[in-house]
Amino acid sequence: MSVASPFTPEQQQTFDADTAKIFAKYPPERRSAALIPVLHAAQNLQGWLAPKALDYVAEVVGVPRTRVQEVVSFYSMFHLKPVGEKHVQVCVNLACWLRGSDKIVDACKKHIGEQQMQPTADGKASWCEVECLASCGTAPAVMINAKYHEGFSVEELEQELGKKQP
Amino acid sequence: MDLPKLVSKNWGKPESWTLKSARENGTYEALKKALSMTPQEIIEQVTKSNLRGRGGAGFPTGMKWTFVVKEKATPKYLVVNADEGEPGTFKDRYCLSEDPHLFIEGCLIAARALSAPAVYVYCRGEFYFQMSRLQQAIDSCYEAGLLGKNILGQPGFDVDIFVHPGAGAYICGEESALLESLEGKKGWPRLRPPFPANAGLWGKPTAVNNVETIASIPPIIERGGEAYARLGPPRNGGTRLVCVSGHVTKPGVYEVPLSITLESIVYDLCEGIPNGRKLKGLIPGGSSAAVMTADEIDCAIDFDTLKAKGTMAGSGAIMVMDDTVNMAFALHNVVRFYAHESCGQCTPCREGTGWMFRILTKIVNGQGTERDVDLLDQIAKQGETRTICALFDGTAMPVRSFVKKYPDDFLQLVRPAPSTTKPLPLTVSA
Ligand SMILES: Cc1cc2nc3c(=O)[nH]c(=O)nc-3n(C[C@H](O)[C@H](O)[C@H](O)COP(=O)(O)O)c2cc1C
Ligand code: FES
Repeated sequence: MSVASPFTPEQQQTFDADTAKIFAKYPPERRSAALIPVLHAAQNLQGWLAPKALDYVAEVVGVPRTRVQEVVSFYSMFHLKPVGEKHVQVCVNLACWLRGSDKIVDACKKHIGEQQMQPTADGKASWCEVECLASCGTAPAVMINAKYHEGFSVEELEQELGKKQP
Repeated sequence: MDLPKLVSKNWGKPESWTLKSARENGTYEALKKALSMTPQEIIEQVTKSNLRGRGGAGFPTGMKWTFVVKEKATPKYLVVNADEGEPGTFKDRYCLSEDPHLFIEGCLIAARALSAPAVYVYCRGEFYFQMSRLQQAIDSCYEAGLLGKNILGQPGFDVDIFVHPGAGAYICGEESALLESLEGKKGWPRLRPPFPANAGLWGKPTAVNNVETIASIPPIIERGGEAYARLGPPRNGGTRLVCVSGHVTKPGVYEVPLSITLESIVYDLCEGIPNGRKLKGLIPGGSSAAVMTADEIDCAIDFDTLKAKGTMAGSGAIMVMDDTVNMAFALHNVVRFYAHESCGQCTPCREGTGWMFRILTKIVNGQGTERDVDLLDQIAKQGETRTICALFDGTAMPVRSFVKKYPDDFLQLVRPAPSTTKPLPLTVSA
C-alpha cells in the first residue's frame, strides 16, 4: 500500500481483524459500503480520526479521499479532533430537557469546561451536547464513551469524573 | 388494564435474548409455519393483518412488499431501519436487546416473502450495546442452522443478516438517506420516484421496514392476518409500542392496541401527571408531529384518527408536558433539533429550519416581537411539501401547531410590533 498506516502493530492487528469481518458483509463489488463501519473501527482504536487515519481508510476501502472527508464531516459521531479520555455526551432534547438536562450541562461546564468538545488540560475529559439518544423514558440520558447512563444525575457525573467518592 | 402483548411478550424474562430462552418462549415456531406457506401466502396474511409501518409514515406493510416482489430485478433486499432517531422514540432498542430472536424470526419470514437473500439492519451508531446483543443472537442462529444456507433444512432457503452501524445523523432514519448511508455516502435523501421498493439498495428492489414492523410479523403469521387485524380498529391492525416520556408518573414503553386513547395511556397506564400538576399538552407521534392540547386527547392513537386531528401517529412517541412548561421554550428545543439535523440539500429546509431557530432564540431571550411569531408560521407554511424529504414538514408541523395552540406562551415573551413600520412582505413580486 502506498499510504502509511497510522496504527501501532497491535492496533493494526485489531484493525485488520475488524475490517475483514466488515468487508465480508457486502458484495465484493460494493466495497465502499464498508466506509462508515471501517471509520468506526479506526476511531475505536485511536479515539479520533487524524488526517493520516483518513488517508489510510480511503486507501483500505478504495474510495477517493474527498469522499472520506465528505462522510466524516457529515456524521456527528466522527471526531476530527481528539476528545477527552472520558467524553460525556449530554442529551438536551425535549424529554431530557423536561427532566433536568440543564443541570447536567451546568455541571459539565463547571467540572470540565465552558467549551464543548474541548478536552481538559490533562486530556481526561471533554463534553458536548447531543440530540435525542433514544432514552427519553429514562431521562435525563448521557453517553460516556460507548456506554449509556440513564436517569443520570449531577452526583453521578461527579463520581464519573472523580470529583466525588461514590 | 389487561392488554395483549405480542411484540414485547418476552421482555424482562430471564436471559430473554438467548436462543435457548427464545426457543422456550416458542420463537421460531411462526417461521416453521411460514416455511409451509408460499411467499405469496405470507404477503397475503400480512396484507390482511392491516399492519402499518411503525417507523413513522404508517405505510401498509403488505402493500410495500407487493411492490417489491412485482419487480423483476434481483437480488431483492430487506433493509431494517433501526436508526431510532425521532425524538421521543425508544422502543426499537428494546426489541433488539430484549428479544433479538423475535426480530430475527421476523427478518427470516420477511426475507422468505420477498425472496431476499440478504438483510441489512441499519442501526444507529450509538447503539453499541444493542448491536452486540443482536450480533450475538445472529451468531447463535448461524450455529443452530437458523441462518445461512438451507435454513431449517429447507433446500434453497438461504438468508444472511448483516448489522450495519450509522454514525450519528437523524436524517439517516429517512429511508432513502438510510440507503445512501448504507452505500457508504453522506445521508442525502433521494428524489422519488423511483421508490426504494423499485430501486433501493444498490439500485435493487428493497423493502425498508422499521424494527417493530418486522418484529410484528411472527405474531401475524402465528395467529393469522385477520385475527391480528381484529386487535385494532379498521385499517390499523394489531398492537404497537408507544414510548411515553416527559411529565408522567410512569414513563416507559407500553404495548397497546391501536384503539386505545391517548387519555387512557397518560392517565391509566402512565398514572397521570406527577407533582399535582396538570397536563398542558402532548406530542403524540415523535417531535415531528403537531402538538395536542389537554382537551384534544380523548381520541384513539391509530394513524387515521390522529391524521384527522391534524397531527400524526408517527413513531408512537408520546412526549408529555405539564403546566409548568412555556411552549415557546419547548418549541425552541424542538426546532433546534431540526436546524441541527437538516442535511442541507434543499434550500427551504436548510435555511428555514435555521431561520426559525434564530427567531425562537430571540423570542425565548425576550428580544422578539409579535411579528416574529407570525413570521414563524409563514416560514413553516412556505417550506411545507417543497422539499425532497419530510424533515422540513416535520419541523413545520410542530412550529405551526405550537404557535396556533399556545399563542399566549409566545406573546407573553415578545414586545408588540411597532405600529409605525409596515411589515415587510415575505415574498417579493416581480
Ligand atoms: C426525517 C425522517 C426521519 C426518520 N427516521 C426514522 C427512524 O429513525 N426509524 C424509522 O424506522 N423510520 C424513520 N423514518 C421513516 C422512514 O423513512 C420509513 O418510512 C420507515 O423506515 C419505513 O418502515 P415502516 O414502513 O416499517 O415504518 C424517518 C422519516 C423521516 C422523513
Ligand atoms: S430526549 Fe434525551 S434521550 Fe430522548
